[in-house]
Amino acid sequence: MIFTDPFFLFVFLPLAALTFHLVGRRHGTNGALATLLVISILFYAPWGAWMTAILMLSVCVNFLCGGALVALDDERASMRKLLLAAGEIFNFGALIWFKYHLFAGLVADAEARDVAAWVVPAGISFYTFHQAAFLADAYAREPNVVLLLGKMKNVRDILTGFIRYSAFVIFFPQLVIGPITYVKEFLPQVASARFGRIFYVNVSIGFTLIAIGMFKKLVLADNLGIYSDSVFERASLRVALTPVESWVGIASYYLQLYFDFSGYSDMAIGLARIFGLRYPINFFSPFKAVGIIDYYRRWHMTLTRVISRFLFTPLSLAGTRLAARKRYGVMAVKILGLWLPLMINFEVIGLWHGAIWSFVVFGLIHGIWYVAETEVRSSKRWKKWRKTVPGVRRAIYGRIILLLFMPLCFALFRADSLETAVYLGQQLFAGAGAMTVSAELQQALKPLVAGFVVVYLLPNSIELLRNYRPGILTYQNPSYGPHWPVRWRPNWVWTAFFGAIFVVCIYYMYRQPPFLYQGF
Amino acid sequence: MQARLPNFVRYFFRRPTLVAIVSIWLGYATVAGFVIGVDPYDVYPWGQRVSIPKNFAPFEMIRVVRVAARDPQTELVLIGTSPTTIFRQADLAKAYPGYKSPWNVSYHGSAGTDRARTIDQFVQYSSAKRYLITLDYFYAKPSSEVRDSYPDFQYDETPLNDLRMVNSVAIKAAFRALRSGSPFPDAVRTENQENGFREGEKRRYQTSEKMRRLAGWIDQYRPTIATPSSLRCSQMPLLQELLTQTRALTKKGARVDILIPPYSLGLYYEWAGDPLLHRGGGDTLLMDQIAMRRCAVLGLAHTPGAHVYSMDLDFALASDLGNFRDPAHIESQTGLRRFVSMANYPELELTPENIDSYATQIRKAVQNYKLKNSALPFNSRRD
Repeated sequence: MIFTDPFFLFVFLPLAALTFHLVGRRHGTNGALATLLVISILFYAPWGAWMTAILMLSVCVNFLCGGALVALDDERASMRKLLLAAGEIFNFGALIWFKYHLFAGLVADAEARDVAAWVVPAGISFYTFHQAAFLADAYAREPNVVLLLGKMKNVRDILTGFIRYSAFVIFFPQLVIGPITYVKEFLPQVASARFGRIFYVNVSIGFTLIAIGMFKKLVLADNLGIYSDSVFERASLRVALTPVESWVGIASYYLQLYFDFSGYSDMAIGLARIFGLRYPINFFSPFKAVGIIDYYRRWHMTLTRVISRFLFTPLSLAGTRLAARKRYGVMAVKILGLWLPLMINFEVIGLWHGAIWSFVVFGLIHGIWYVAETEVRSSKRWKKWRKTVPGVRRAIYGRIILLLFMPLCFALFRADSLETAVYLGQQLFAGAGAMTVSAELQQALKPLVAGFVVVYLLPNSIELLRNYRPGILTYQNPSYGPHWPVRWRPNWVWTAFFGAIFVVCIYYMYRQPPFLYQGF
Repeated sequence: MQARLPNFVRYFFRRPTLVAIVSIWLGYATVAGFVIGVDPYDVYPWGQRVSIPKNFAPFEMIRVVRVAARDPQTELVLIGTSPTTIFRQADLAKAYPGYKSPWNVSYHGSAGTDRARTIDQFVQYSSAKRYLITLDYFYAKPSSEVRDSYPDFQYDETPLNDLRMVNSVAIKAAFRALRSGSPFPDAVRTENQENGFREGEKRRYQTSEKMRRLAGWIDQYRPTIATPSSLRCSQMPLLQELLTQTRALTKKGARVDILIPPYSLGLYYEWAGDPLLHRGGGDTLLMDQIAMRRCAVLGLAHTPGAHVYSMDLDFALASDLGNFRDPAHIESQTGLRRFVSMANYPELELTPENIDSYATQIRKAVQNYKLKNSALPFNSRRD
């Protein structure tokens, strides 16, 4: 099922919420969690029995590993290390096996890649990251993980622990495309006496976030996708494009991906909130960022923090220690402690999206860009310049640079091959034809303009609802753009507004293009 | 004195979101209940008994494939795509007089997978005695696509996605079905729509500019137009499915005639030059098509009741673009008459014995093609 499916919204969700509330009231936290687990399995089941079996197998293996990591005492340190390694190898081995077919995609033809893509279990990336983080926390005996698993002294305890853990991993709003959550964010809310019942204010917040997310996906992203799909298809067939068509196609995809993914995240956070859970936010106006460093604190934030915690930080520490041990110079310390870890970081992010060369180059460019910006911002000249130029102007310069280059990176991301991306890049500046504006292009400009207005002039969903703390702030980011004096409240005016938006979305609901990140 | 509001009113007044959710839910449930209850496309056992006019193939034919498949009176069915939407019931009746209530189930823009699903409906539900199925270019594709907006959800086995049927088109169709018994606009309007579409296509293609462009492509691609194909029959999954479906229909006692739509000889150059049209067919486009036709002929050689026909060797017709609205769509009255009645001409049947000769003749004709268009004051520079 997907969130924009009318069956999900009008049948599954109301029934799920009602059952959760009734069982939660009668059977408390464990009953509510067991209900969430069953609901989530039912949500996932339409993807296929074997995908569900793989998911459950993964959950069982991680639960056993996590339980053993917590149960084994510190004297058996090597055993614990071995167990952690085995668990992580299982997680990432399964991810690599299913997602990349051991990187066969780099050499296989397009048809083989299509087949490989088809058999990737839905959400495997996200539940792998969830569980990898869980195992690391279990190894570190993070108090919430210890509490989540419980004492595990008898069958009842084990069953209770399993239900809690499974509900944490499989909880349907975040199962397929995130946000990637830590146990320490989940457990305290589940442990609250209020958990297990549906509250009006949570329903109001959830409904509003769902309406915002649906609008982003169904009205903006899907309409932007019509033109971007056409341009990228033509590019893949090497059909001549005018520069205007190429720029509009690339800009459309730039916004499409953002609205598609952030729309999903808004809906996920909204759905979780209906069940009384606040989930970490994934997007905070990334296109208003003033540079790539700022951008990655605002785009897919839960992935950024996972990668940063489990990849960048250990690599950076190891590099710095190595440089210190060998008494290398300042430049070597920089390379080993910062540049190399950053490059690896972005290469892993690139390759996580798929085993094709365009993702490799995407990661490379982002790595170089990030390193360059880090260096520029730490240079003396920058610091001197910063004192002479007002912050507003600096922010505008930063945004212009981001707006010029990030859509090109997204084009690389969207293109079916590196050759297609290069071809499209050529069309941007040397494309055929004059600056003609076809009817199709005119049609494409409407959602594009609307999209840019939403991105640059309106508050994001978290800013709008901030009086009600709609999600957990993954990073503290300043708000940019016009400061609107409005704040959402669960009153008649806002309800009518978002109710109308919901109804507009229903009009587009018969189209069911999948969320773009479902493929990852 | 102020009247005291009932408790439930006060409860909801303080909870606007609940009012909104309940209103939206009730509104949607009402509309969905209305559409599914009326059942304008006759998907369910209940609902309005709809009558689909058989004298034309409406734009929304994709939505009533099951109705056509379940029609007990239909003895002859034509399943095709844009080249055959032009045929009326009268054309089929005239061409094949022995069959009652013929029905043209052709729709624009078929992309492959949707065709297989359409034929599946006939394999499952139909009791027709004869089928005419066009062997379109997309059967040579190694991968399959679905026509945009093809209503899969109407024809699959799960009821969980049926709510997707509820949209503005279906709501209008439900009202029409209640009012007139048919979910479609009246025949005149639909026919005008179809004619307007065809006229528009013809106007856009039949221009001197397009002919000049084609002449350039002919010069450019002539040396490579017959590049050998590496496609094997097993690499054409759609064709394999068609062969399986054909066998299933013949097992039910029906006769199946596979008709190769008459393309102009210029088509292979047009599509080689404009890759958007053939979605990357490349230099092997012509030979891929020939390979696909050969696979169809050989694959059905031992299936009693199945035949493959082609009129592409009528080079007087195929070489003159004046007979077509664009290179893939024949428009001349003579050509259309012959196309619809192709299965009545044994000399047009392709068999394992004549397929090699057919392939050689087509290949040579395309390789030596000189652009001709009797409808325009334009001819190839070489003429």
